[in-house]
Amino acid sequence: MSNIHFLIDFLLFGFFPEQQRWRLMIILLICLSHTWLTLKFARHSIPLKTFILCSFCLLTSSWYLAFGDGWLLNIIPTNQLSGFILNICLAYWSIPIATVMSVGFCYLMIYQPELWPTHCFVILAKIIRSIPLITLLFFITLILPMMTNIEITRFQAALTGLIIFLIAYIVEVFKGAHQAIDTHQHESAAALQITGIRKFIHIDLPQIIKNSIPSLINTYIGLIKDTALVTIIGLSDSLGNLQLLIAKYEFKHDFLLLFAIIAALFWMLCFICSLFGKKLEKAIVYE
Amino acid sequence: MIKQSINGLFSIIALTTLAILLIKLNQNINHQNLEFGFDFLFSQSGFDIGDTWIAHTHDQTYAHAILIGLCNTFILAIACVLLSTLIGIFFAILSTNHSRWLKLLSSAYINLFRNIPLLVQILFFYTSILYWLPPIEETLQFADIHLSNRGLFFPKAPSIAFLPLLLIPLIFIKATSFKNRKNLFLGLIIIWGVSLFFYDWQIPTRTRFSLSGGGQLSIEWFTLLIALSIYSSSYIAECIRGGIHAIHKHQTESAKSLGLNHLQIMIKVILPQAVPIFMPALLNQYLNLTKNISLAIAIGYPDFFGITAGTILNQSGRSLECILVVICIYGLINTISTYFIENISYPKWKNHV
Amino acid sequence: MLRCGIHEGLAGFSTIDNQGNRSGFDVDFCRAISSAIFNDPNKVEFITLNVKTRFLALSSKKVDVLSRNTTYTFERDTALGITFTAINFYDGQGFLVPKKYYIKSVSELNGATICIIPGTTTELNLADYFSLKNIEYKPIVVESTQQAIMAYEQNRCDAFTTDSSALHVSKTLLQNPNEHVILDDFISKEPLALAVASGDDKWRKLVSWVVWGIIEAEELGINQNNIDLSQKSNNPKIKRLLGILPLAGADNIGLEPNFMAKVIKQVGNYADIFDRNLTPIGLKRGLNRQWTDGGLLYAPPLR
Repeated sequence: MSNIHFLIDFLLFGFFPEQQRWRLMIILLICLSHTWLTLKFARHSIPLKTFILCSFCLLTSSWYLAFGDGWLLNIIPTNQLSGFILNICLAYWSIPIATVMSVGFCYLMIYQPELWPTHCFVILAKIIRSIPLITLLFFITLILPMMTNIEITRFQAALTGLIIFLIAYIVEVFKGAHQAIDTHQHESAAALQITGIRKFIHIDLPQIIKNSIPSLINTYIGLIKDTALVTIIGLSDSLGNLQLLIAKYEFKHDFLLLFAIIAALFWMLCFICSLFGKKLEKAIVYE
Repeated sequence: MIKQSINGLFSIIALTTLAILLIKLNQNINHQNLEFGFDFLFSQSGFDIGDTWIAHTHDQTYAHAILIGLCNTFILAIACVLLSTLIGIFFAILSTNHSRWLKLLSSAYINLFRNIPLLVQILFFYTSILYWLPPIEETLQFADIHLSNRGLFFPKAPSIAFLPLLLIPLIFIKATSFKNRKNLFLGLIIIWGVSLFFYDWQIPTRTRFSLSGGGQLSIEWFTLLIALSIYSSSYIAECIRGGIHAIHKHQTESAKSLGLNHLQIMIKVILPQAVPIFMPALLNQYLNLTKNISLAIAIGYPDFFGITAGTILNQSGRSLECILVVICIYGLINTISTYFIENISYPKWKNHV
Repeated sequence: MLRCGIHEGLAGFSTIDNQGNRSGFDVDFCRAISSAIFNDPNKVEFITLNVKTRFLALSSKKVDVLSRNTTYTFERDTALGITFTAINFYDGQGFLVPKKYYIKSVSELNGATICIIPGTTTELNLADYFSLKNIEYKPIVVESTQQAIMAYEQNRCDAFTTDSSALHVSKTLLQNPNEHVILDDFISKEPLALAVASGDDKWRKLVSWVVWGIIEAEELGINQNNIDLSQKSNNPKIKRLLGILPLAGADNIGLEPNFMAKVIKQVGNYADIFDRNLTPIGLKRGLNRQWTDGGLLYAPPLR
């Protein structure tokens, strides 16, 4: 079983250069610290501005660590970021971005429902919710380059697809959460003459987030699982690497083990995510 | 005033971008000397499809191939809906049991399969079936039924034999009382069962390479059936459990006082009342299941998505048209089903206690 | 820099060697063109393309030349905005079958289950051939070559069909390659050629003549090892090929008269390229012998 070390290594990190693995470790640390930071923020331990700033720094630094700039860190081509770490990175990069963008769209849907951009967005979101994710991924890899003449790598296509898909679902979750807000809240806001974007940020948004946490976490878990689909458009994520391995006859008989590893990895990630959701639910209390 | 200017600005920007995109698209399509249009759907496809319920051969059209794919998707969807609902109800009932171990078993099942990506499960079942089932030369045989890693081969009666089954809905509509209905139903099934012996059955026989004649279900189909049913059943069990929990405890207690056992209470008292509560969520799960069938492309089962966005797209080179067809049909399926989910008034089931 | 579109990974044709350099039959033709133009085989930017993107990348000029074992067909040459140049490999669609069936020809595959990779000409050829011969078969579609090999090895299908060159590669990946055999007959012609975007006549001629020059060099017996000796040869054909005797018109297509000398020195002749890449994976010369040896390689004379 001397192979097992190699197998786990390959499933986790894939083709990422051996000497640069420490960068991936730091990315994992960044993911963990970001969740910790979010919990801190939910417990009102850190102010909003610090949280946003930190989140931004963490996201950009993880991106920088993954791909490098050719100056301080070596450039890593996007196709070398593979294995389970790719699944984690895709999830980690798409979730915050999509959530923030959905907050913006949510504002549009609640406060500016007659605007044409809102109508367009609502229709697009409906279409995206009605198609399977791989249709969207196919669309982005095949049709978008024809429309824009921009070369899109598979990685970029996958990330864009996941973000768009996630926005379409999160907006729906937010919409439901907004409907659950007590009408008294709106009345008291009106009495205090808080309107427009200030009302959205100070009155609606905190309650939307609070109400939507269980379904939001479910959506996130769904997304984490959906990152496995990128193997269909040819990215070598953990599942793609697994298929490479079992096509070789040395590892053909180890497929049970390989699948068990992958299943355990995904299960753990989803478990961490739902644990995070439960903690978050407890942490958010408004007096 | 501001709103109007935003609308104006947006429409100008959106229309120009759209125009630029479409012009680029048109240029690129013209570059390939293609023209945008759906006429190609009615030209000869040129490829055969192996695993279908209605045969598709190479001299039929692309449109025919798409219909065949839709047919494959729907039949698989129906089979998965039935199986996953059964498994889902089973585990939902288990989770309401008083035994701690059964509860644990049920929650373990739900949590395990919900948190593993469906694609991983599909590929796992596919690889295992290919690996563990015997090759075609040494099939597992029971009477004339053969099981191998190519699929299940079984004797087939001519389709006319299944016509009497169409009477079943009639019984449900026309029969006056429950007892009457039950008797009629049993009678029909027995007569139909006996009649089957008089038909000419096609029996799978060995040829040089494989078995031919009779019916055949490929392992790709089985893999999808198993993987999709297990995955969806974990969601369905969760839905149904939620519905059961919403029913008031008094119901259970009063049923208990009437002397019913746990299973009877569940099936005859609680579940019928829980149906309207969990039905919308359940139907949404069925819709998700139908969309998830598109993952069949990973193991090469010719479903609607695989045929349209895989084979036809590659063979005809009409990527835009194919993706549009896929989006439209999924959109249509989705619109129709959401309309039903939102507008059906769920009937309360009658209690037959 | 020359931008050259190649296969994502097909042993023998386009792979990455132990040092991390691109190598392979198709890759070497890219390098040859680069040698002819820049006198340097490494001034190539390799762009991997898949079945879906290859023609679009070429017609929209994202790559200068497509060297990705692409079959030369009428429709592709006329309808896709691309133009084929010289044929550098004669392939055909073959079948891989287990030896235990004792099959000698394709027509014995009646009732067989056959693994195919979708979206290629092989799928169409199969349907045509089997309906013509009135033979029944059951196609099983597999997404990639790796999956096809797995399915074939687990006996999911009785035969695996694709281009014969790819079949040879697949056979080496099987657990017991000796228990399987590639049938001798082909059911289709698959001439693989380099392609360029339509509309640039000079560029098309340049690519064609580099390929033909490589073939001609083998016919004249000049290879990477004896090129320096050949410079002193008296044969006027060799002198013309190496640019010692004037080759009128070379500068019209942007080449120096001695471009073939550079190509042969830096990359080699057809036999060099074939032996370096395809012989190790067990491919025989077959149709790809010189016409003088009974093959199909027949380059127009360089004069």
